[in-house]
Amino acid sequence: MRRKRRITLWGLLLLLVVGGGLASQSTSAVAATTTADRRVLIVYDAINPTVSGQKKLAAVQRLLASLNVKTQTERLSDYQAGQLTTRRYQGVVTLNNWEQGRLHNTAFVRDRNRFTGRQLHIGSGLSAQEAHRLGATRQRVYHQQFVLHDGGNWQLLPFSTDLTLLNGLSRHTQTFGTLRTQGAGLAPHAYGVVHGKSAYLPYLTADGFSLTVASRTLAALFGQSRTNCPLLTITGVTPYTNLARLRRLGQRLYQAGIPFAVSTTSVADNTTFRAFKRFAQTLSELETENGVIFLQAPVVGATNRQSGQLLEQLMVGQLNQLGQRQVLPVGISAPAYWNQDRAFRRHGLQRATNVLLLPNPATTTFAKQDNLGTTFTQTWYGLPLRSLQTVENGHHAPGDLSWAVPTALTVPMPDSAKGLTATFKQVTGLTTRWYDPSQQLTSRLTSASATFRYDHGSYFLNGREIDVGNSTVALPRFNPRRKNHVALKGYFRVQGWILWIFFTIVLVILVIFIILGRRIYRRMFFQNSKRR
Amino acid sequence: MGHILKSGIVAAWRWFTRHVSPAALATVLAAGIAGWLIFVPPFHGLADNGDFYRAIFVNGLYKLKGYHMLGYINPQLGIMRYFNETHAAVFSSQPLFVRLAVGLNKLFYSRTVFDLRFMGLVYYLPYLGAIYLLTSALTHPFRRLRSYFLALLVVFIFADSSFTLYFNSFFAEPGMLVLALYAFAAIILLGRRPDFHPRWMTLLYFVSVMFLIANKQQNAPLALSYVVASLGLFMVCRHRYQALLVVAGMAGILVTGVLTYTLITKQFNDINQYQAVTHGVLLHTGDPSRKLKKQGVSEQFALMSAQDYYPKNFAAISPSSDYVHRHLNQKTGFGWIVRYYLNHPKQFRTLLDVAAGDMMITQVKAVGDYQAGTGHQAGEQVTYFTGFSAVAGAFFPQKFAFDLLLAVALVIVFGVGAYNDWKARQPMGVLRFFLVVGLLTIFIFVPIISIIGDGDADLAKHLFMVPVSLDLILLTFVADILNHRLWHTPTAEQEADA
Repeated sequence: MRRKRRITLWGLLLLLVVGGGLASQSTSAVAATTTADRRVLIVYDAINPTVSGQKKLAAVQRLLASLNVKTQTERLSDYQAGQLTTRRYQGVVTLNNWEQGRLHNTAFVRDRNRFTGRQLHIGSGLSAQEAHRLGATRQRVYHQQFVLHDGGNWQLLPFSTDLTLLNGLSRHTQTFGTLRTQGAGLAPHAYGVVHGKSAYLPYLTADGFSLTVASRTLAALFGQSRTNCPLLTITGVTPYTNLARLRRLGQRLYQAGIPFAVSTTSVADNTTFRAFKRFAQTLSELETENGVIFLQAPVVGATNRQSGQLLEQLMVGQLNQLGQRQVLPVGISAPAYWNQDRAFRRHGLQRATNVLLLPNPATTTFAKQDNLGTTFTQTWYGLPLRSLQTVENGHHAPGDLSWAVPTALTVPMPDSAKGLTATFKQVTGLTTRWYDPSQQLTSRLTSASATFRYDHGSYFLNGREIDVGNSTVALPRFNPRRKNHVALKGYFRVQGWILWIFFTIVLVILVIFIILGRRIYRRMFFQNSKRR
Repeated sequence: MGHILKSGIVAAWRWFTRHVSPAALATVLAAGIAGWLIFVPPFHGLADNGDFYRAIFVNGLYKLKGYHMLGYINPQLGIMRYFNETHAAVFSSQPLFVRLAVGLNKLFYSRTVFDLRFMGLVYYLPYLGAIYLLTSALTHPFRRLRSYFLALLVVFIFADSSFTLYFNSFFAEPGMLVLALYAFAAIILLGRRPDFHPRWMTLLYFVSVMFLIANKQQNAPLALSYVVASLGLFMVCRHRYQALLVVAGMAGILVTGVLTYTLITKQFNDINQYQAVTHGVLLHTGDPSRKLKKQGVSEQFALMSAQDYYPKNFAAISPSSDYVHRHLNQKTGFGWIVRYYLNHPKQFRTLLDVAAGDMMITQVKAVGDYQAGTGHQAGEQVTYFTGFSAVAGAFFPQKFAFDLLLAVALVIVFGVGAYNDWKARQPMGVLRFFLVVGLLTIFIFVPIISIIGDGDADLAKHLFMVPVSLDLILLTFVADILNHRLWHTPTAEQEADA
């Protein structure tokens, strides 16, 4: 009897231990998913190129990355029932690019209706249920030309054929920007709407005034209220750029007191050439003129299984070659799609705390696409300055806009002296307070053997402060050229000379023989004729 | 006993020579050797190096799922069943061969799946005819032991797998090989056997040459070489109208050359111009920065040294971008490059030596020769019957200066024969001389043009006609030594005595 009791006691104890272990495991799992680690699921209906759907999708991905929100992107048709749960995702974004397609996934709609996390709807096809969550009613408007107003600034929008706007918003609803028509027919409507955990944007553009308003809407949805200053960034710089012009632009910005960043690609080969020395010298000069350098990811030609490894070598090579010449990049810049690719993220972006995501190029070549966008300590949204050119506020060029996400206002590297002047005018015409890296930025960037750190204007290489422009840095030489020892190489070198000599001799002898033979032949002929 | 054995061997040899001509022997051997390689499963070929799409889509074919690049050949492709919207990226006579193969495939095999062997077949049959004519041209009218030796030599050189592997591929080179053999055999036969269908041979010669030139853009300069080679035909003309026909033929060759040249697409020009700089001007020169600056191009472009137009993985700037086009391509035209090499002769010599080192390596090492799933590694090379290309590739001197000397020596040797025949009013020596000079211009000038036109990019393939020409010259040389025809052409009686 006692024995039996003891067994039950032991059994109970065992159960407790095992059960406790399991429970602690499951609580840790829950803990992991409750933190900001949970992703936001972006579900889009189609890449509709006629409305630049790809750009819009990339804009959403970039905005969320800038708001420190990890994402997962899924096409509506690939969505699997039961995927979207509050435990797994902290939010969901529905992006509709193709109204006419009327693409539907009932499983997704059902799961989204049950979902209690944050919800954002962008574009057409707002359902009654979603409108209800936003505490509003829908109104469709056709063929209108809107002007977007926000805080004293406005921008004329392209003609829109079909837009769903919200009416009857409650008092607790936050709105961002106002859409007005030029005629008197339609009352003003809100552009960005946030109501509790739901938000709505009737349309989205990847740049322009609308984007800045949209970014504030998203920031509000995710409970972020930080305001930022934009960082002036010169893009499209390569080692082949006209360096004198780049230097002049840097000087003029320095004289005008505008801090700036330069996003440039580099090379890892042929770095012993004078051309590379000039390039690095120019960049380090810019560093002394209150400029910081973003190393831009290379153009992807083709990819294969080794691409990740190759990229690692290339980036490390480029960083070390630049580092040796006192060019210490503060971050990596890359097209937005690099953040959606496992290999590019791991070997390209994740070595930096500061990452600048630029608009995608016309063709995107992936190595290992996984659509799992991650975040970095500070993720900059690259916004072309040109897209803000038509923003007005009644008096002069665009006034001080407010920036909800770290924004890099990009200007392409001018390709002529005239372009330089125009770019400079465009930049100085903008009355905004620019982000000053020497006052606000700390960053860290690692390559295989070196760590670059930037801390409020001071550069550190492997922990040692570098006085850019004065001291020379000794970094172990990366990738010294391996000499190929080819067997018989000496033989082949000598062989050429031997054959030269041999053939010359043979040629001479041949010519002599021909002359001799001819003479003998003719003599024979003469003797014969004499005998006759 | 020994006597009986000896007479038995002699009788057998006599029977053999009576029933099997050297040309027939060469053809049968080549048929067997090449046939096994490209037809017997698992058959071999050359894998796609990335250029096949130009020949595939234009001709109504498409890549099936699991299509291999570089590593393995693709034994089958799909045949499009709907309207084909792709247009030829290049002007070429190659689609004629591919269309024929597709037609045969549809007729005898399938309307939806294309078997690569039909491509091989389209080249294989004309190739055997070319081998027959070539051997016949070199050995006629003898059936001696040395004639059979020559037949074996022809097989050893031209049935080499490095040539025949091309048949099972969408490269243009196999067409060039077959046409070059036909052109050569036809013109030699015209001189040596005036009674052997002279009209057909003339037609064969001119048609082959024109198709050969139109086969690929880079063949355009060959027009000049073949015009030189055709000059000897005037020697065999007996009437004025025949001479007129030859003139017309030569004009036809020139027109084909000009057409081929002018129809090179802009995209090709851009690629070639870019690589002529990055793979030529910027190579083998230490630091080219200052040299570029001196000739009016931004020295920063020195950093593009050894870059491809289509980057294999990553690049600092896209070579097809506007910026590169404006600041590099538009400044470095043909004249610019010629001027550059005139100013830097040492670098040009080094590049020519690179070309000289590559020219006898005929096997395409960049792509695999086997099918996937046959137990071979990706990119593995066939070693079956590659004796000639292996030996020639390893031991042919890798100096362009040697090539020049060799050319001079050959011109002198064949020049002596031409002079003697001219004196003796024999057309053959003169005809042969012009043919050899024409082929030697290919041997000497194609490497130069390739370097100026496209640098050392794809050099081995650009030089394809060089080894073919040189092999033909050397074959003539050996054949004429063996037949005692090198220094002069013997009369029929003298040959009977010999």
